[in-house]
Amino acid sequence: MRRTVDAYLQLPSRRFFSALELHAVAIGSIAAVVLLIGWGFGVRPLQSLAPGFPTMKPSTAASFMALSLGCLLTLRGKGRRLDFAAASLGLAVPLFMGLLTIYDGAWVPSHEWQRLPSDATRICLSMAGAAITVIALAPGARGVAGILALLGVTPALYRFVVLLLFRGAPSEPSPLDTMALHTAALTVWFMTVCVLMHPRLGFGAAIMEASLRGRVLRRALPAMILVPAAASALSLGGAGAFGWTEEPLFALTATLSGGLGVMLIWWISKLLDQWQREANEHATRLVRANETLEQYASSAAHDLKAPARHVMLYSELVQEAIGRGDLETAMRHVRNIHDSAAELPAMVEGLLEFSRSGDARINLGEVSLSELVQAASALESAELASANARVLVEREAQLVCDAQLMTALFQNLIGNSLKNRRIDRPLQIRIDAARNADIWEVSVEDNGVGFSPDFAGIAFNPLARGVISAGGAGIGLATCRTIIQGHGGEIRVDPTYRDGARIEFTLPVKAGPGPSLEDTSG
Amino acid sequence: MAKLESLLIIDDNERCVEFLSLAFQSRGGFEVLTETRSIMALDRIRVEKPDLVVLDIKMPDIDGFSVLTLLRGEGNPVPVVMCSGSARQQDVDRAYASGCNGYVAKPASLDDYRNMASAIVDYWGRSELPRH
Repeated sequence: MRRTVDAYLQLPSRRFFSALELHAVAIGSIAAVVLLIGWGFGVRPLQSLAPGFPTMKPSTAASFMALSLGCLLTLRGKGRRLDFAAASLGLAVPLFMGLLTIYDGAWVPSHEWQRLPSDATRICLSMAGAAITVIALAPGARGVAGILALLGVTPALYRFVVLLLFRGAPSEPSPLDTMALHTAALTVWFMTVCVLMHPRLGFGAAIMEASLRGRVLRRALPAMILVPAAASALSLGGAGAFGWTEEPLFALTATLSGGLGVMLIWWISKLLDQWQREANEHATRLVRANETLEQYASSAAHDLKAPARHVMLYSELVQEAIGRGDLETAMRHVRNIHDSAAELPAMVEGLLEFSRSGDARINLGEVSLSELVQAASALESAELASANARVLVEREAQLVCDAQLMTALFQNLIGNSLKNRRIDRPLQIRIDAARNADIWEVSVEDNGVGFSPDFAGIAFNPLARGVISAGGAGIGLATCRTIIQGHGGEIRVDPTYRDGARIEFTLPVKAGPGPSLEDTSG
Repeated sequence: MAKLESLLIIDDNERCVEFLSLAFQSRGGFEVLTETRSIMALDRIRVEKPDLVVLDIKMPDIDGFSVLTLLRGEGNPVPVVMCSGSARQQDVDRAYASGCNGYVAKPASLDDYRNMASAIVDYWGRSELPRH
C-alpha cells in the first residue's frame, strides 16, 4: 500500500528539475546567439521572424496591449467589476479597428483582403477582442469564444503560411512583408496563449485542471502575456522618446524576451520543485494516517469489547450471589451491570467525535490564547472548582486557528491535568506562549503526577490511551494531535519535565497549510 | 520449592481488577495485591516484591509493554503474566519480546476466569519462583 501511494504521488526526481534549469540556460543561450547572428550579420529573415514591434503601427501595438490587459483581468479577476472592465477592453478593440478601417478607407474587396497585412491584422484583433468579451461576460459560452479565436487566427496564419511556403522567407523583405510576419507571429501567439488556453474556455480548462503541467501553465500564463506586451511597450517608448532605430530596438526586444523567457523556465522549475515537496509531504501524511487508522481500529474494538464482557461477568456474579442468598452483593453487581452498559453509548459517542474530527474543516480566525483558555476552563469549571485548581495564562498570544477546535484541545488538556492531579497540593495549570520566527510555541504544564519518560513517545497513539474510553477526558490526546497537525503544527510531551506534566505544541503564526483534518487523522 | 505468597494485579480497569481478584482469591493461599495506576506499578513491584505479576497491556499513562520493558531493564526477574483483552498475535509476540513469562487473553465468563487463575497459580506454584 505504501509503495503504491508513493508511486502514485511521486513526481519526477529532483535531478530532472535541476536539468530543466540547465535546459532553460541552454535554450536562452541558443536563442541569444541566433538573434545576435541575425542582428550582427544582417540576416533579415532571422530578424523579421523574431518577436519585436519596430515596424508595428502604434494603433496595432496599443490594441495588443489592451487585449493583453483584458486577458489578464479575466485570468485574475473574480469580481463583476473586473469582468466588466475586461469585456469593455475587449469590446473597445473591434470598435477601434472598425473606426480605423472606415477612417483609412482601406477596405478592399473580399478576394484581396488576405494580401494586405493591415486588414488581416485588424480582423485578427477584432476577433480576439470579441473572444475576450465573450469570455468575460459569458464564460459558459466557451464554444463561441473558441470559434471566434480560431476565426481570428485564420487570416494571419494564412498569410504566414503563404509567405513561408509559397514565396519563401524573403531575403530582402519589404517593410510590408516584415510587418505581415510580425503580425502573424504575434497574433498566433496571442490567440494561443490568451484565448485558446484561457482556463475559462473548454480547451483551456481541460489543459489547466487535468495535470500538474496545466497548473504550472496557469500560473505562468500571466507572465507569458506580460513579457511580449512589456517588450512592445519598451520598444515603442524607446522609438518615440529617443528615436531609436530599428536595430537597437530589435536587440533590446530580443534580449528582454529571451532573458524573461529563461527566468520563466527557472521559475517554473522552482514551482514544480515546491509542488513535488508538497506532494511528498501529503504522501507521508497519508501513510501515517493509514497506520494510525489501523491502530485505532484495533483500539476501538478492544475498548468496545470490554463493557460487553463485563456485563456478562457481572450477570454470572449476580446469579451466584442470589444462589447463596446474598442480595446485597447481587444488588451491587446489578449496579455494575448498569454502569458497564452505560459506558457503551459514551464510547460510541467518543468514537463518532474522533471520526468527525478527521473530517472537520478548519475555519481559521484570529483569537487570543487567553480567550481559548477561558472558554475551555468554563467548560471544565465545575471540576476545576472542586479541585481548587488555578489556570494561568502567563504570556498572551494572538493565534490564527479554529477557535472551536482549539477550545476542545485546551479542554482536553485541562481535563487530563484534572485527572492526573496530585492529592497533596492544589492543581495549578500554567499556559504560556512564545513566538519563534514564524511559529508560536505554546506549552501547557501542570503540577500533577506527570508522565513517565516512556509515555512521551507513545502519548498521542490511540493504543496508548483509549480515545473512546468512557469517563475519560473527552476527545483524547490522539485527537489533539489531529487538531494540531491539521493547523500545520506539531505536539509533543516534554519527557524531561519532572514537576508534573508538560505538553508543548506549535502553531504557524500565519494560516497553516492544512485546510482539512482528513489527511492527518490520528 | 518456593511458595507463591503474593500476587500483584495491575490493570487500569477497576472491574477487571475485581474479576481477577475474585478469581485468584477463590484459589486462596496467597495475598492478592492490586494496582490500577500503571505509573505506580513499578514502585509497587520494587517495594512490595510480589512473587507474581499479572499485568494488563492497554493502560493510560504507561502501557503494559513499557512497564515490562522498564522492569526487565532494571534486571528484575519477577514472573509476569500479561493479561489483555487483545488476543492479536502481534501483541502476544511483542509481550514475549518485552520479557513476559506468560500471556493470557481476558476471559468472558467467571468459570474461565477461575480456570485461568488456577492454571496460573498451579504452574507458578510448582515452579521455582525467582526471589528478589
